[in-house]
Amino acid sequence: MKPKNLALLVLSFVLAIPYVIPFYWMVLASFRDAAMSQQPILYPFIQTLSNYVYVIKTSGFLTWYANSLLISVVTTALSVFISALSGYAFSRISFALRDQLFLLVLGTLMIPFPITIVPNFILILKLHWVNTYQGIIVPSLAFVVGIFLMREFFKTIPYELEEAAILDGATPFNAFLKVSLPLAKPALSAVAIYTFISVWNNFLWPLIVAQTPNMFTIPVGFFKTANGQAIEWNYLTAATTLAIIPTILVYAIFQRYFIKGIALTGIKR
Amino acid sequence: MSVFRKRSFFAYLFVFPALVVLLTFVYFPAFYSFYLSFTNYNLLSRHYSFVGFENYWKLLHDPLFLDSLKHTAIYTAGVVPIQTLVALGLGLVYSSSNRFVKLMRALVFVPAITSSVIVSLIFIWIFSPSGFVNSVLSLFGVKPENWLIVPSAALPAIMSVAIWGTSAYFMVVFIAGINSIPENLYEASLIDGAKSAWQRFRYITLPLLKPSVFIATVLGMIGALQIFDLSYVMTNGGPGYATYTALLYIYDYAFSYNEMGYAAAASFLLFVLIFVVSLILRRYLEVKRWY
Repeated sequence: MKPKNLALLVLSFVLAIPYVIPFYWMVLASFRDAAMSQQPILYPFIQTLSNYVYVIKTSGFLTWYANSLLISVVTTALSVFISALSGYAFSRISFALRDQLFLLVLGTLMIPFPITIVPNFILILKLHWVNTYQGIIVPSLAFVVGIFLMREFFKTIPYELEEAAILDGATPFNAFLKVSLPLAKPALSAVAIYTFISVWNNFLWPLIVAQTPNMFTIPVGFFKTANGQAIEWNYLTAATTLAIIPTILVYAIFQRYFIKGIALTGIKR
Repeated sequence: MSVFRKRSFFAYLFVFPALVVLLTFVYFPAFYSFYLSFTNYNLLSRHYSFVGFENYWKLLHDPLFLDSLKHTAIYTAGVVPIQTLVALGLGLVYSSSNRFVKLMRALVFVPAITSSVIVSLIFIWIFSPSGFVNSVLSLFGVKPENWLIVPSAALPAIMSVAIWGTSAYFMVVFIAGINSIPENLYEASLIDGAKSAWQRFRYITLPLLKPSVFIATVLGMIGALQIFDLSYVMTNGGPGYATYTALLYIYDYAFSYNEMGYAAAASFLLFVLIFVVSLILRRYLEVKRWY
């Protein structure tokens, strides 16, 4: 191996250390008792599994986990479908006001989230959606970057494929559903993964909407448990370790799409 | 003929859900927020009235609001340049297609996909007397301290966590930028006498990465001005108000004191600030690709 390549490998390993160590410590601490879990010990050993048992049995953790899963999955499914529909229309169909409407969609990128929290809370108060799933889900259903990504992707799929289907008697809707949509899988995956991870991690909006512990998502539940109290690190690390599993799994399986999605848009949700 | 008419009917049907959500939960709130900012709307009282510019006048005379803006500005000015530089450095190292390097890159990216609440909680421990920061500092004879309750250290501590988490995110933007530079430019530069790696970086990589620098800076800035999660979870704005930021102020007035009109005015000022800063950045940083 050339010395230059070896240097690159070593450097890539050394630079990764500060990014990994906090998580490495977190996982180790979750297998230790109350006193040991607070220590900055980095050699791996399993002292106890009781933290996991405690977290699952005692706290509202499972409820929050289920809420987070439900909200993330439903938001992702609906938001991907909505993005695909409008991305498709904006790229494939010419209709009156198309460009104006697309500009209207893109224009929302100029409106930062903080300016919407007060009026949106009043809105869901009037709709009686406070402390409900729909109150958390519905406001984040349209994902502008997703619409943009889908529009760009549908442009790359040859239109002739659909024309052939329509000539064979398919309705335009079926041509979309059966021909173009399956071909858009890479873009759909990128939007889906991106949405799932950002909804799973979302904090401020669920914090505002969810008011009773049975409606908390994982970040809200963790915050309410830790806030203003002495943190029991052995239990907390067990809970956070369980909480990052879905995002790590989704990321590990679909990494390629995820990175491509960010690279294409560079935009945080 | 009927197929075409049908198609435009489908088009409206297809864009309808997205437009309804965006109009209801983004555009309407933006205007409603502006309207509310001129009222004394309070969730606890039935009636409200117009108060003109009173909310704005009160905001600009509230030392706490000005302080929260100051902390937000310090945070942004410190975090954005450093995280962009770190992201560029990470991008240079991790753009390699070597399998081991790619594996390490996946690990570096983990903070970027982890909940900011979980990150905050772990770093509460890291800055605690038994945490890593003190184990390192004790090597230099510094006595253990809970750095998040030291007023002068709390904001820098939060800033370092933000740099740590977000640099990994923007690394991806730089990797995409680096990978889009045509290889033959480097070959040509070799012929033209750019012998050292530094020369190739300075005269080829860096100029061609300007669009990536622009994206990372603008998005980093917009995100940083909205800092909430880290300072709310790690310190709850404290000690005292040392890490109190603009969005914390808005959140408190809206959801602790129910003063929606006043909070709307504060959020409108934050919006203006974000808007102006991104315009200025656009003016100074935006460049077209020229290859």
